[in-house]
Amino acid sequence: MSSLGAVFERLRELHKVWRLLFVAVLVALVGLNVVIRPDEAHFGWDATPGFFAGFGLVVGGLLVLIVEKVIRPLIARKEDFYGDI
Amino acid sequence: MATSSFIHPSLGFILLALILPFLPGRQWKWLLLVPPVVALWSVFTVDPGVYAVLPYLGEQVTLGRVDGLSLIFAQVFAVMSLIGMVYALNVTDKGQHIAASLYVAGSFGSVFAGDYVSLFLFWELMSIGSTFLIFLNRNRASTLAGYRYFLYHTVGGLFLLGGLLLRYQATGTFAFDHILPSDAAYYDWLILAGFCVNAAVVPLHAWLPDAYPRATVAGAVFMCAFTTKTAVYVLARGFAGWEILITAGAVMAVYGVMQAIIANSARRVLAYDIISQVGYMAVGIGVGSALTMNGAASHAYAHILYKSLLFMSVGCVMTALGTDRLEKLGGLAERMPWVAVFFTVGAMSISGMPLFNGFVTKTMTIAGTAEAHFTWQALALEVATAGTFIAVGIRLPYFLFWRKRPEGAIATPPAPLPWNMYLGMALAAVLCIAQGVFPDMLYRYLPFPVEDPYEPWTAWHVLQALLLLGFAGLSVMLMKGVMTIRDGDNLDLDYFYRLIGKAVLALVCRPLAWIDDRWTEAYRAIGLRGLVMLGSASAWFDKKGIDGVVDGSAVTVLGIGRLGAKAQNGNLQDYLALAATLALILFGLVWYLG
Repeated sequence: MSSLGAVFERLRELHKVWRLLFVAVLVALVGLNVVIRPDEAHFGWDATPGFFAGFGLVVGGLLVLIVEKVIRPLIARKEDFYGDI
Repeated sequence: MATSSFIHPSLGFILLALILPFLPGRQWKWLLLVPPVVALWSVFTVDPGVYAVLPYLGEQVTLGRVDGLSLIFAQVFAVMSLIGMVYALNVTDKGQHIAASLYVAGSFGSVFAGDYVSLFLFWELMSIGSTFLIFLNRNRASTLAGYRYFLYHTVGGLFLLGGLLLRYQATGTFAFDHILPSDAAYYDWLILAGFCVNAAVVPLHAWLPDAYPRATVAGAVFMCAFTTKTAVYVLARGFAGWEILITAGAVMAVYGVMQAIIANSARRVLAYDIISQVGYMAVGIGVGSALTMNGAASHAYAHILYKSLLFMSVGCVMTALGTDRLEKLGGLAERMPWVAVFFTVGAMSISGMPLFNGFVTKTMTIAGTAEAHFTWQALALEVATAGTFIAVGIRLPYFLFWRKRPEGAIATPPAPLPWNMYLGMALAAVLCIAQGVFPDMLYRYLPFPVEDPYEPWTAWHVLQALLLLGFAGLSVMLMKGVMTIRDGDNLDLDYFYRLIGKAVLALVCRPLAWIDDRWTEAYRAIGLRGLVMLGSASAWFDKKGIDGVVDGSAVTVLGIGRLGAKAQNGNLQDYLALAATLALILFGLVWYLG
């Protein structure tokens, strides 16, 4: 394994640290959003602190849930579903 | 004013395609780099103007309309052609290089075309070249997919041809210029439909995720860059401000990511995400303001770089391990670390992460769309941004590189990759980061002047992007168990195309079968008796005088028959190559004699 590969393997083992760091960064971002706001609201509510955090969380969650739990079961087929056409 | 000092970038690629079959050895591979270098020199030094106006079929065709809009697309095409050729240097199959060269020549020709006649000719050249990039993967699935791809593009080409001829009849000109939405006639809608097929506008998109995952490794890298972006260019040229494109683009952006999130092969995920990204460009063109038009052009530029980088990275995985099926892959970060690095650069770029080029182009389109008060469409683009990050920024790298290798995944060590594949990826990755950090590298070439230039690097824009992407990432982390990989594929709207195809086949076949039955009966009853009599008479005539004369010609007929049998081998690919060659000869003859 190359040295870079070994670094990546080590980073993977630290996944719990990464997770904590990720959550800490998210909290800091929301904190920053209290002081940093858009000059002009494009959508009406987007000047509210935390709007894009909530938007990302809700939209991301809904997208995954809808496509995985509703759409995928309807459209999943075997790889050779169409045969020779 | 027309001058002759413009070297048309298509020229080098067409010449390369023509001489390549006759070059022996393997050193011809270095010649692959010549047309891209000439193209780069040409597009970065040419002055705007109208070049190469030639008479053809009694009309004037303009092969070199060089202005801000055509130049920005030509520039990225030239950069991409160099990256693609570097990446493909190790490919020994000349056919792939010839197909890629003709395809790239078609793209350049379409971008510089000032009239519908030359646009159509180059448009079809692209279609044929790209079809062969699928066929040349040389397996059953790619042959079938190539055939379907060619059918879709033939239909799209016929829309365009019908539209441009009817337009000529009504207006007396083939000039390819902007059409005001208020002046739209039925033939303009036909032309728009033709362009929309190539832009993969939903529901005309199914050819893309069907064909791209089945193309050759290098072929898919070229295809992801040129077809849809040439279509974006012609839409920007002809149909800016057509509001139908705003809604169509918003639908594409969301539909593409929804399919991408559940696709099971890496190249299919990327293919669906092309539809989503082209959606942003369609929205920008539909809004039609200087800001959104610049947004569309710059996003096309950035998209070509990061999407080709992603296709190149996945192409490396396919070359090293033989598949891009996600259920068979995993844990590649330590086994192919540099590929993981390059893939990550592409994934961050496509997600619009600050420091990468998607950030400086995607946000421009969204901001311009919101400023023009198309609120819901702008929101749809924000949804697509979150979805893109989930599909390509998290899910794909997780399943390919970062998860531990699952049971059932390929355990053999990856085959070593040639240096040129790494160099191709490195070139694209450097540009993705450089444009993200120094957006003026790209913005200086934007075609439309704006009073208040867009500034991506503000505290709010950076924070907004990080909040949206970060919390979309959190949603995935919270629902990790929900996202899965399965065997098999997911249906798309081509399911309905195929139903229509089957219905048409049944409608044609049943009456034909009935006629055939009746004919056979009639033939048995009447024809055979007549033939027997005719046969006896012929035999007498044959014995008495013809034998000597005919023997000589029989030999000739036999020879022609053998040649015909060779040509008629039943391979659609060969027929298409023959037809394309004949078309090029005819095209040249008409030009020369006309």
